[in-house]
Amino acid sequence: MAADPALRAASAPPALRTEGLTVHYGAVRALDTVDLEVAPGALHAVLGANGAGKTTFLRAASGLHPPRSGRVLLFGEDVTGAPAEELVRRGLLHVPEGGGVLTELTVEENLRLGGLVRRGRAARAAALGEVYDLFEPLRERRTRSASSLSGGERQMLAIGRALMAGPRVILLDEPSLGLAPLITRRIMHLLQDLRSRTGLTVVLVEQNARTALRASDRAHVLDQGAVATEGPSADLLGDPRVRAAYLGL
Amino acid sequence: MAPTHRAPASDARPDTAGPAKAATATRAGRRPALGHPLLRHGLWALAALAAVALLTAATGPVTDLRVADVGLHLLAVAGLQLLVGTSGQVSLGHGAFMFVGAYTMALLVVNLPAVPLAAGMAAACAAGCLAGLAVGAATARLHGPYLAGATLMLAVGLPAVALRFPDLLGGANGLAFTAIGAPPALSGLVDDTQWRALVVWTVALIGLVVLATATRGRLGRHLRALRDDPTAAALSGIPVGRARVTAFVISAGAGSLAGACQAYVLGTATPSTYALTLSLVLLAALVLGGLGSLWGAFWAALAIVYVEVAGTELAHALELDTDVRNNLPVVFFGAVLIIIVLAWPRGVHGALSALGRHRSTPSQTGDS
Amino acid sequence: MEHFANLTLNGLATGAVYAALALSLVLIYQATRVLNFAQPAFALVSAYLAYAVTAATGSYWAGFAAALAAGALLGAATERLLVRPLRNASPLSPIIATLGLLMVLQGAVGMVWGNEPLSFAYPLDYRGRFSPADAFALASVLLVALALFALYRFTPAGLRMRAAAIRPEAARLSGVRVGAVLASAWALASAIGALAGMLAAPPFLTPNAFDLVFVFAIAAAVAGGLENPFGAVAGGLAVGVLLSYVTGYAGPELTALAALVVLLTVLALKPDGLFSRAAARKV
Repeated sequence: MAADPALRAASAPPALRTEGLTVHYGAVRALDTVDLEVAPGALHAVLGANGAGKTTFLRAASGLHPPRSGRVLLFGEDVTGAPAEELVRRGLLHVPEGGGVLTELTVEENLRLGGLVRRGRAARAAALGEVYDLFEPLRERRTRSASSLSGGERQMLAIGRALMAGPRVILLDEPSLGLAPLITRRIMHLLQDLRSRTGLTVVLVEQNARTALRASDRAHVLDQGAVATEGPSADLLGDPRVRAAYLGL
Repeated sequence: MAPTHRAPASDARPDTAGPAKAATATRAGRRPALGHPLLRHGLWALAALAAVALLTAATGPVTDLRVADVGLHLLAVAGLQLLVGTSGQVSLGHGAFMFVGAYTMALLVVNLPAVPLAAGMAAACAAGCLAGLAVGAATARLHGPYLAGATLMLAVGLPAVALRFPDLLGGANGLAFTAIGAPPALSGLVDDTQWRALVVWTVALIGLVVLATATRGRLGRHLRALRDDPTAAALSGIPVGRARVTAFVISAGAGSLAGACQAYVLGTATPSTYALTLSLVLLAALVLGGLGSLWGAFWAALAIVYVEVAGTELAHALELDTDVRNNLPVVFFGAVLIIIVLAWPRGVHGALSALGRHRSTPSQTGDS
Repeated sequence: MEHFANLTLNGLATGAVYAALALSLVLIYQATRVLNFAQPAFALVSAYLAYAVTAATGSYWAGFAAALAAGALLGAATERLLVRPLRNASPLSPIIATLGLLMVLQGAVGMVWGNEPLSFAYPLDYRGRFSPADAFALASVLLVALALFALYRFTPAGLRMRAAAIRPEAARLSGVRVGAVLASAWALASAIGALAGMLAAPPFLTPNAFDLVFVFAIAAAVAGGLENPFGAVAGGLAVGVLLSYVTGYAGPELTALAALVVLLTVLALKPDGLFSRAAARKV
């Protein structure tokens, strides 16, 4: 894999890097030697059709599903095999498809849960205030059950809960799934805004290729568990062959 | 798969040959499907009875009573097998049905000594089936831990009834009666203990033939389907409630008959015989013997009787005190349960499902 | 009327014991979807240990503390060694495994201490109508229930426990160490079960002493809805009072059957228990 010269030149290690990541579900190889590098502060998209291995990639990277072989590096540190709950403490947050919101809890309980890995009551309270500033609708519904939220609000809650932990890298699985285009656009804007304000690194898994490519800097395209192509998002969006073969655009 | 099942060699193994035979029979038409397995199971039962007769003739009274003990526990565990192994419902109340049978038998003999033995057995079976109907209907909608909890309450609650009505049921001492010995016509040919073993095995084998036929037949197919996937079974038109209640009735009938046999052999029925531990041991032995086949019930019955015997002998040899000796079997069976569940990584049900798929493949192709 | 009032007070005191054991069953069921059939055996082992410690030190309260510690330890060990390996097995497996543990522990207690009854002390004076011992039972159980409510509702530990129980994977993604949290839920619940054992043991302790208590606790837990701690406490007290009437008017031997009848009636009307929430999950 030819790394971007600009990245190679940079002294800081990549925020997230996988080397030969391979995952099996029983006898089925779901992910096949995936190499991927995300620069700090980048908004990186991982695209592909249904079953291409996007979610598997996130689950392996975040420690939910230990890979059969390959390595995962977080800011240059090998974290392969570390369980998800420990990676959260190192700043890697995974927002699963549908958000993984606990509908039995209230909105604020969901957010407080996200902040429990932070030390100190004051830090937690400050984080809560910041998330409420970012997502006003959540502040209004703080005592309500999370099950009463709309799809877009649930996605906000899921992202907000991840932000509560003070992440350095955030992995988002299909945040636009089932949402109206307007809401999707708002969420993409928000991610870009967060990234530019806080230097947060975002890895975005999407089936909605057009939206993701417009919002992201670079992208990988997965096909049947392997990397089919990668490059700057604008180039991929402009390449008619990539569009036809992998993105259905 | 199917051809090997139908090969002549399979005649040597009645158990695995069963579904394949049933499948060919179903394909050929309705009548043989009912007649053929019943006849075959009957022949097997006669052979087994002959074996028991030979065995008891060759041995003394102690072995006779152990053989009888194995026979009645075989019947009890086989009844539980239909419920747990075939339909996947964990019932902890099987001892309660044995209690019903034992007390029905004892009450009849104490109050109407002239009643023939066969009538007593029939009455015990009927009482057990009624109890099974009541319990089955009341618990038809319960599943998993709810059913296990409710049947556990039955196992603890029912024997206490004997304490409530001491005049009728004899309280904690239970009901004692003079056991009916060998008929005068056979005196000299068989002694009393041998006769008892033969009676128990006759009853047990009749019960087993009924259980085997039910398991191979439509009811068994329905129950296995329910066990493997209740939702799919209901969607495909299987009468879920009726199948489950029927399983309970047959299972309770078998348990009750086993209880009647036990009362007949011991000449007494006491509440402490049917405490919760009995139900737990029955279930543990079943899991040890193997879920899903009548052979499993046979190994289970052997285990129940001979673990007790071995425990007593071990305690005697090592000069352990009575507290240790009395509790050895329970600890053994408990440990067996834990080890089997843990060593079977896919779980009992997974093993069951694998078994179910293995067995139902031929009959499914036969049905379609 | 006097008789009725006495029966009610007695029922509340014994009901507190059922409530405590039911509470321990529900906490464990809530956390790991396992109905722990070994729970009465944990209480039994704890009570016998308390007996031994009290005999050695002469202090009832040293025995009491030992019982709670033993209960917690048994609970955590069982979660770690028996329940966690079966997390992905069929629902039948934990039922059978905990039944096996029940048999092993009950048998082991019989081996060590014998099947003869041992006389077991009350914590406080037990004479008279609604004695100090009765008050202690009721008060301690209500206090435990209240403390649990506060723990679950207001503390980070409680939030972790709820999240780990509801959606373990989502909890992990928020940094909750689910394994440790579930083990501590088992420990906490089993300590409460040991409390039930300490309250239920007097005046005599035998290896089968808790069989009936367990039956009533199951009735209370299931009738209250297996997932609702409040249902367990309310159910336990209700079962206690009800069975006190059955004992007083029909005979103590029929209590277990009466509890079964009540349970089946409740389940026929509300299959998930009286206090189950609308969105009860499938078991």
